[in-house]
Amino acid sequence: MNKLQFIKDISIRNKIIAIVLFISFTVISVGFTYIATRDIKHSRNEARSRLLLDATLIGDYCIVPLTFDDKQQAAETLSRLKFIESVEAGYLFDENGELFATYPDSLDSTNIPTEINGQKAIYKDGYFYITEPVIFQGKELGTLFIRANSKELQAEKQQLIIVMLLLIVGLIILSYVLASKIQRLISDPILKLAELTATISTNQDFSVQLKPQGKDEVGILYQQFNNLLVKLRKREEERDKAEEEIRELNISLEKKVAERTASLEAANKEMEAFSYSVSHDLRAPLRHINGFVELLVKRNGDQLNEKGQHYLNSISEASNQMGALIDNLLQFSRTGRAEMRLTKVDMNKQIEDALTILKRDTTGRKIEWKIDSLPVVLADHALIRQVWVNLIANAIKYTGQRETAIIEIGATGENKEFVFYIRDNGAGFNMNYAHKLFGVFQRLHSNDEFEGIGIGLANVKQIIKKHNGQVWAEGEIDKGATFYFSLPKIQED
Amino acid sequence: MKEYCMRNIKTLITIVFLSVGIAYGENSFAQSREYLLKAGFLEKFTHFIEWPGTVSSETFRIAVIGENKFGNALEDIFSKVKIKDKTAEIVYISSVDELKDCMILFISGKMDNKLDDILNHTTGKPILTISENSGYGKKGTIINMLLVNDYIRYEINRNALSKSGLKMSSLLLDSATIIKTDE
Repeated sequence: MNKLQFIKDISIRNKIIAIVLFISFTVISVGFTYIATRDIKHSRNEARSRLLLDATLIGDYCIVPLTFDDKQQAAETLSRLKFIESVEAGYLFDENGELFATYPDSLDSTNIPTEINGQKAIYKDGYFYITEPVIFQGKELGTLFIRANSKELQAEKQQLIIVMLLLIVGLIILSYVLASKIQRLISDPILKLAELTATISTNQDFSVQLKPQGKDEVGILYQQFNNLLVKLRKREEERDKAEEEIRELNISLEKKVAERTASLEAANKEMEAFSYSVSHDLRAPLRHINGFVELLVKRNGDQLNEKGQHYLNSISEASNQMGALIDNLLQFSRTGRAEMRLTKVDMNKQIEDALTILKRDTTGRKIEWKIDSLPVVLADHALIRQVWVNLIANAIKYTGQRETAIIEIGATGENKEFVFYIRDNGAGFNMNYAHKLFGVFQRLHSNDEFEGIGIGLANVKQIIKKHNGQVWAEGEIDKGATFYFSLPKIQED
Repeated sequence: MKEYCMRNIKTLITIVFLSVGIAYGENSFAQSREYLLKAGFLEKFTHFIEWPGTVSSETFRIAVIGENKFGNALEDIFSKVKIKDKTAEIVYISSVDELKDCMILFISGKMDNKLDDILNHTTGKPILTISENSGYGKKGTIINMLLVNDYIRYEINRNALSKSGLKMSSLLLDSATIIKTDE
């Protein structure tokens, strides 16, 4: 985290207080430094002029001793310097510059000050050096030199600094108190706004409005925020309304779908029941027809001429065809209602069984089989065999016009399912009608071309659907067709 | 003025040293030194004192009454120095009757008999009376010089001073012993 980030993270309240404190501290410090400097300078000047005055006075007292060449009296006079606490040393020189007297008496006379520099009064390294000529009646009798410390001044300075520091602390505290009270004028509306936005974003409640403030920037912010809230609320209302409409539509749609599905199911069941009973009931008269045709051939076959026998054959053939039709219909309606018994089914075995069943159809045909190794699936054994029988029978049937029929069977493993296919080089079909392939009684070829009743593929579709799989086909006229169906893979637990 | 004074002082110093040199071999050395100093003091006192009004005489007359112990010291000093822009004239008198236009009267030695008479004559007049005897200051001389530990000290009688009408510098007053007589 960089420095600026640290500053940005401080709350507005503290920022305002910090700014006020910083400014107060700077201004007070500068002001106090100025005052203190001036005061100290002033004190120093005052002390210096006081010392000068004292030196002049003492110098006057030195006139008589100097005049009368009285060193003892001079020493006595100089000893008056003791009343000036700051004076550490005093030297009196006569007119020839010879040392005349010192204060105190014991003062080391070898350490005579030399750095007078002709200045009357100087302040250097904490000491005042005063040089005062002793003049009487216009005649310079000698020179008085005084060295005084500035302890008093230092003490005064220290006291001043202490007072100033205490004042600074006091003023800073006062500034802090005032700042923390007055900053509310600025920070409170902002903090209130921040709090409100937080509440709004957690509760998603846009119905609140801020109490209008003054006309400053924060006031404008409040106004804009209110406008925003109004717009948001409007939008939310519109959205809610739209959602409500969609929900209602959905509900009615679901209701409709359910109704349709129910009626469809009912119709389907009715149809299955109907087709079962019809096919069942149709068998009885057909058996009668077949029985009596057989009786007629057995008993009176010899009496019929060739034409009569041909008619009987046609009747018998038609009756057989109708029987097959009824059988298929029955099977179809049974499949719809049949209970599934799922077991592990080896598809290779299923192909073998199917080919055995269809052996009669392949006699006299030249068929090239290309059969891959197939996986094991979880399925109803009998139904899956029916699928293969129907699909292989289809392939055999539609390759009838090929000199050599080629039929391929294989499987691919997709993500969660197996896809099985059977490809032939037969008559094929027009892809435009692909959707009709799996309908009941839907045939793409005329009965003259290929025999069939149009139930086989419908049956396949029904069985695969029951296994949660799908059926589809690809083909082109005269170039063969490929039928696919998918089955879910066995879920290994 | 300054130069003049310098020369003056130098002369004085020369005289003092010469006198000291001469007096060295004599028994009266101490006395001679004392009077040399006293003569110098006498001259110095004049710097701190103002005489009132105009003095009619053309000279600044200094009278010595009693035995002259100065020798020629006074003449030597005042021959080269003017007092208040006037030439000094030194007279040795034996009676107060001879006090005429005197500015300073030096009462030499012990004169117990004559003192009252002298003071009667001088009191209230602008004459600086200088004595050199213990107790004379109290009796009424304005300045009384005393020898203390080989140093010359002086007393000043405030009352006598104010009666005389002379003006004395406070500096001199500060460095003197002040005597106040109740009169």
